Amino acid sequence: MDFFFAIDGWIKSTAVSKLMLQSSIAFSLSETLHFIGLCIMLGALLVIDLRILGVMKSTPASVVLKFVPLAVLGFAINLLTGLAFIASNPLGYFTNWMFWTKMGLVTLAGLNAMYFTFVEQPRVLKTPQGETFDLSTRITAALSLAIWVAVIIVGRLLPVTQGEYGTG
Amino acid sequence: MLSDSPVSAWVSESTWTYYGMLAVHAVGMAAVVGGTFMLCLRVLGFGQGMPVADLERLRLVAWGGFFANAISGAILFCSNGPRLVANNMFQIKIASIILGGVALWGLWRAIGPNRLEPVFVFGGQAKSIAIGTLFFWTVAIVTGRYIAYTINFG
Repeated sequence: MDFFFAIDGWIKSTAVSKLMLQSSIAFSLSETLHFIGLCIMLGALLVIDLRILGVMKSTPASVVLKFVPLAVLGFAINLLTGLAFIASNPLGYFTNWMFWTKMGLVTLAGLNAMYFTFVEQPRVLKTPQGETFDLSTRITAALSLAIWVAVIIVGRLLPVTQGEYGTG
Repeated sequence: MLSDSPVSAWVSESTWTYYGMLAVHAVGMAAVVGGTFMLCLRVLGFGQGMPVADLERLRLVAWGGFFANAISGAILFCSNGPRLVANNMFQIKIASIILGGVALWGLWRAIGPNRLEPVFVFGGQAKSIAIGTLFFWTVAIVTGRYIAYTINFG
């Protein structure tokens, strides 16, 4: 716990933390952007992952991968706004087990996305148009959708398990 | 009264059921708005090479999200009906969803048979409707979020 208290003190001394605490609009605006970011990200992932799973077969894989930067954009928005939330009350988040569950799921989803990018994607691009992708590729796509949906659910449940340190 | 109903008691009695409904609402939102955003972006020129007909497959997902949100929204409404009706953000959100739905219907009409073309540059009319659709659904998210900041819990 001492470790978290030390980090808490340091984060609260930053300008971002002060802004999030002092400006009523900063927190609400970040939350709104977090929701828009998740819509952009999940929308892009629906296109990519459902195509891998065999839906939307008239679109070549190379075209569907154009949606990857959009998913990354949504993630970047949510990473930045997410860091801003933590800055507003670090201990609240660090003492909430639901927060660590969410971070664990985000890490899993990130590892899954890296595996897709470096191992599956080159094979996807070599698969002839109209053919079914490998089972391992399809499992990666199904995992991507399942884990990110779980991230949304767990994220929305954060207030249920927040403790004595408040919002987190 | 709605606030005296068993549904209201059920959703209000535990933070788990209340936030569980909000979690369903968030996933439904991602399905409806996420799918709609992708359609609008394709009409605006993003993702050339993908026929809009392929994105039409997302309609089922979007409708699933819409019904999930109609139900979770109705249950959440039961917990706080009168205060929500009086809340400006809630009023604008519902109006935006209706206008967003009409815009989306108009967008599919404007797309027409061109949905089968993989590489197709849509005209000004379809693009204008796509911008309008993006606008209404974004307003629905923004005002939906601000209900929590403006509602009068009394």
